[in-house]
Amino acid sequence: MTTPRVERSPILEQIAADFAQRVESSNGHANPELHALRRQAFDEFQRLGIPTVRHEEWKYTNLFPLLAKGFHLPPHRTELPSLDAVLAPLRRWGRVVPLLDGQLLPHQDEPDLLQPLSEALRDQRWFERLGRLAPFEGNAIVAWNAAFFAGGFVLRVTNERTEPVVAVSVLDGRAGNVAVHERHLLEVAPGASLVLVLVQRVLGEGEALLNQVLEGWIGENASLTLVLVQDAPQTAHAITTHELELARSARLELITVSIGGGFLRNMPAARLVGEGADAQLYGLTLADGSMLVDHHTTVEHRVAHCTSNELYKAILDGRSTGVFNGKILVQPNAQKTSAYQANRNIVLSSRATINTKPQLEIFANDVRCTHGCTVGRLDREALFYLRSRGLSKQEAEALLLAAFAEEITAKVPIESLRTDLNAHIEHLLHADELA
Amino acid sequence: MSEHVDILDQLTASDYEYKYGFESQIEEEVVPPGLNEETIRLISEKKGEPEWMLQWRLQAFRYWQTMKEPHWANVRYTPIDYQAISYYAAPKRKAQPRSLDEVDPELRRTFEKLGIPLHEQEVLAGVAVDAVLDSVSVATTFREKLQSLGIIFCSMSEAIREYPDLVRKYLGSVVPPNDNFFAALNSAVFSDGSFCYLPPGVRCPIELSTYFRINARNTGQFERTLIIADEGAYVSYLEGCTAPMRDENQLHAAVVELVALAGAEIKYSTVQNWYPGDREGRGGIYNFVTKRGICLGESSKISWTQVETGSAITWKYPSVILKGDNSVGEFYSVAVTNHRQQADTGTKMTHIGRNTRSRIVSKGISAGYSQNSYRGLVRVNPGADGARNFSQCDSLLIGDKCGAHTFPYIEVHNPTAIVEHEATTSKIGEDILFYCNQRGIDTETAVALIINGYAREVLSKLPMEFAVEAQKLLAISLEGSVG
Amino acid sequence: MAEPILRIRNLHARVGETEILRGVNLDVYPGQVHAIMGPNGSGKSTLAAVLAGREDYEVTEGEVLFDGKNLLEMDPEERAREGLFLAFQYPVEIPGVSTATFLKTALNELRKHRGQEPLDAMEFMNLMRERAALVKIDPTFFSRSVNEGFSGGEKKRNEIFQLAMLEPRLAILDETDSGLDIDALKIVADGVNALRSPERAFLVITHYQRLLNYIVPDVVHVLYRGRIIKTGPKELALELEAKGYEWVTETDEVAL
Repeated sequence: MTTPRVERSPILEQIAADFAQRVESSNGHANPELHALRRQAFDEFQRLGIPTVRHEEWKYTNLFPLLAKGFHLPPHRTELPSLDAVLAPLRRWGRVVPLLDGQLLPHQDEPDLLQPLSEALRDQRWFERLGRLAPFEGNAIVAWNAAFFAGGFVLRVTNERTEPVVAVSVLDGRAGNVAVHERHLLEVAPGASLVLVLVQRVLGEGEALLNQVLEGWIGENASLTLVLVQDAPQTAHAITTHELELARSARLELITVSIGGGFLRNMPAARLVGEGADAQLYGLTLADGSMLVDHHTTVEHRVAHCTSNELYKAILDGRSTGVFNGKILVQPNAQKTSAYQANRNIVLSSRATINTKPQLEIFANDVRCTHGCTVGRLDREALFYLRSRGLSKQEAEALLLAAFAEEITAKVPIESLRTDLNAHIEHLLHADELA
Repeated sequence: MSEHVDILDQLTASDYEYKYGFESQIEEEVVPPGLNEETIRLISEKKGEPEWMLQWRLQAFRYWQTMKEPHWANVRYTPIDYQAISYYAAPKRKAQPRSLDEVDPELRRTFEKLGIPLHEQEVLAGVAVDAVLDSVSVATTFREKLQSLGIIFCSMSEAIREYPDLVRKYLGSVVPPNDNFFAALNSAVFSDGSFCYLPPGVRCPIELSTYFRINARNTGQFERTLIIADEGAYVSYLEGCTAPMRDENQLHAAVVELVALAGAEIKYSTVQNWYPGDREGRGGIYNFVTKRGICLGESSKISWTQVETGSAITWKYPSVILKGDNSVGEFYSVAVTNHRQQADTGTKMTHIGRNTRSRIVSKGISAGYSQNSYRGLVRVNPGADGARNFSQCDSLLIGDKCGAHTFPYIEVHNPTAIVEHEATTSKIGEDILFYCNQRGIDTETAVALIINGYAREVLSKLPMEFAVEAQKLLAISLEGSVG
Repeated sequence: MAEPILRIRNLHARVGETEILRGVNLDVYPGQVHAIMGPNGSGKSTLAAVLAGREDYEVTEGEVLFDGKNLLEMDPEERAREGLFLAFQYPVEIPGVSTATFLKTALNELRKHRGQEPLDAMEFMNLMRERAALVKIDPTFFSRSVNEGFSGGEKKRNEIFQLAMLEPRLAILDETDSGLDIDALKIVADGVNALRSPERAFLVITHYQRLLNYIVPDVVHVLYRGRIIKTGPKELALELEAKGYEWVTETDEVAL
């Protein structure tokens, strides 16, 4: 393996200074093992450097303009701001669990369900799991996270939970641009089920970058529905790494709705390690202005008789950029695999760009894998049909685009969330019409 | 089921030496291994090239020195020592067989399986008989006919001497000397190759294939081809040869440039079955080729068709730059890998002009322990209003030790573009094989039947007589892979 | 009487651990049409598959002679070349391979086996046209990929068309009637009837009596739990239709 070229830049220097300053205090308590791990992670981060567009995985997504904005670690705080206004509208989606700059805030009840990460890591069993699905070796983003993560949660579900959990990452941008590294561990015990919503909010005028790493184990015959809601204003940026491992007959539905924010890079991975496991990944991008939305998915079939399906859709307007990189990996023993992937894109503006790269890597022979990808415009026949029924061109377009988008939001199992997302999408589509 | 004999393996692993050049004056000179400015001056001098050509080569060499060998393709190989290669080595003549009776029977069996006409067999096997002279006269006849139409078809060396204006105008215009590592190397040291120019409005009445095969000679490992179709002209050009040919050169780094002016059409077909190495992956050709065409004028068309069954490593992306409005680019490919072969092949379609269209049909077949990758790029630039692309990339797996990989890149910068890409990966089903068996067709024949069916859309793009040979070739290269 | 084309003695076969055929005995003579009936899961299709040589089934006991030769020793293609034809219940699709190419390959393999010269293109086309008429197959079929995009009825007609082309000694029709409407069924039956001859025998496997109205059998067997539990004349089929399989299974269960 060749050593990647390390970019010597003021950005990296700033990060190194932050690390030196924070390393001893970032756990909230003394934990020599964790300190050692952070140092190793930081060394790895320095070795790898910040990925540039010369890295195959970052070919279409340039981190440097984002990082050049200058993000600082959140200050130690003495008092909590009121989050009521931010959290209230989210309460109808499910049980709200707020995190402020990564720190899990005291929440009402259910102590068995959630623990702050720092507490949980004192338990050797959780500590050993840290980095098992998302190792920092060779991954600059995870290494950066491992060196700096200031908080997060450990969530364990052992029953068929009916009430969704809504984890809200609130980033405090009131004192300037802020970067927060969140780290979460998740276990859905055998036979259990969970609907988890992840959402981001920003306080104040500063810009906020969330580097979120989640490692999740879905046990035998367990089920996880993970909804990633990215609907914040353009000052909200996120890099997410969601590594999910599926045991025998486990089910995963991952729905990513990226309709707001500035720079969004999502790297979900579903690793099917037990026979009969099934992963469904859905994504929607609705981007305008200078938004960049990059969905970088991995579905890995490690054993036989698993199924996976992916559908990612994008509508791109303004000067926005959409990226889809969908990797399907079928390992040598994963016979009888059935894997499907589809990527549909609509480009509305001459300054918008879509880069898409489906990627099949298949090492087993008895498989059925297909992917399809399209880039195009709205169906002119359908547009004409609607206009011939009296709709204006703008109305007809908005209607068709909403229908295109709602195929993804329809997968969201929480009715109130679905309604809110659809309303938001329609609002955006009509706002666009006025602009 | 009995162990089948892989003819190509046996053939190419045998001690038999044969050649295929028939020009009588072959210089028996070998420049010592190594690459520096002196080597290049020597090559240029030996070929009697003008000063501008020498300078062009030297410039390319200087680029090459600053470049690194690329490693992004999905292939693995032992490092190449560029200083160990002899860059100007006329083939040594060894004892030639005097008749086909003296030729290795395995080689003859393969010729017969492919249905190669007798006199061609002799040429290919390097038989030193009068038949070769016949071929030369046939070739000369072709050439006279082409000349009467104003078509220039000659070796690159000859073109450099006789048609310097055309060569200077177009050489490197599609694949610049600094395009990539291997193109730079080729530009510095290219040995020879073909040059073809079609004047405006002329449709070449014959496939340039027959002529080419008979005239196949040792153009060496750094071949350079340039084809220019002037306004409204048409040519169908066939490269390669379906018959197995022994080759001593491990590294092949050819460059092919196609230029289609307004309304012109170039159809370029390749059948490549160089030595793939033995069952364990020893030996075999590294085929690192840069092939690119430019649809310079409006409504021009370039179509690449390739059937790739040979080489240990193939690294090849015949591409089209769609510059002229309404121009069309096509890529049809069948790539078969068996044993330890590795292929990373595909195409690039760059849409620049308005209403440009491209179509990609790629059929990969992997067997044995081989790895077969499709890598393609479809790029629609901001100005390419109304661009359209359709891609179909299918992979077929035979056995459970091989791999099939698909890396399609799609970059769209224009809202009016329509791009569609479909890919599937599947295997030859046991149920299909049983169905064929039940009709009295043995497994070997059934596989050949299924493979040819699978590749039909591509094979149908080849000129008729070549399609038949290519079909047989597919069957031969997959012999023994099932059962 | 002449020697049987097919002689099955005490045939046992299993798939995995499950024994499906548990001692089948059957003699089929030239010119005869035998019907094998039975409820779902009785082993009808297994019998067809074992005779054709499908690898998923393991023969654990018994003997099958085909024209006096040991059938079980032969590869599937050898059985076909010896004149055994199976009309599949679910004919497979072969993308890109035209029906003409497919049949020409098959027929010439058969002819080679019989020591005959391969047919040239013209002779072959003439033969195809002639035989296609038997099952009302349109010549446009010839250039279409084998079974690809065919309707259920077209696939079954194509099976009978192949039968007509390959002229086997013994034709096994595995539930050829399933999924056919009455018009398609008649076409298929007419084709089969036209191909009946004193040298050829048919083994018609079916769940329903309906097909036997059109292809009238000489002998009817009831296969149940892997054994032939009743054999009778063509009227047996009608009786089964009227009384249901319980009629034979209940009465004969005791005897077994």
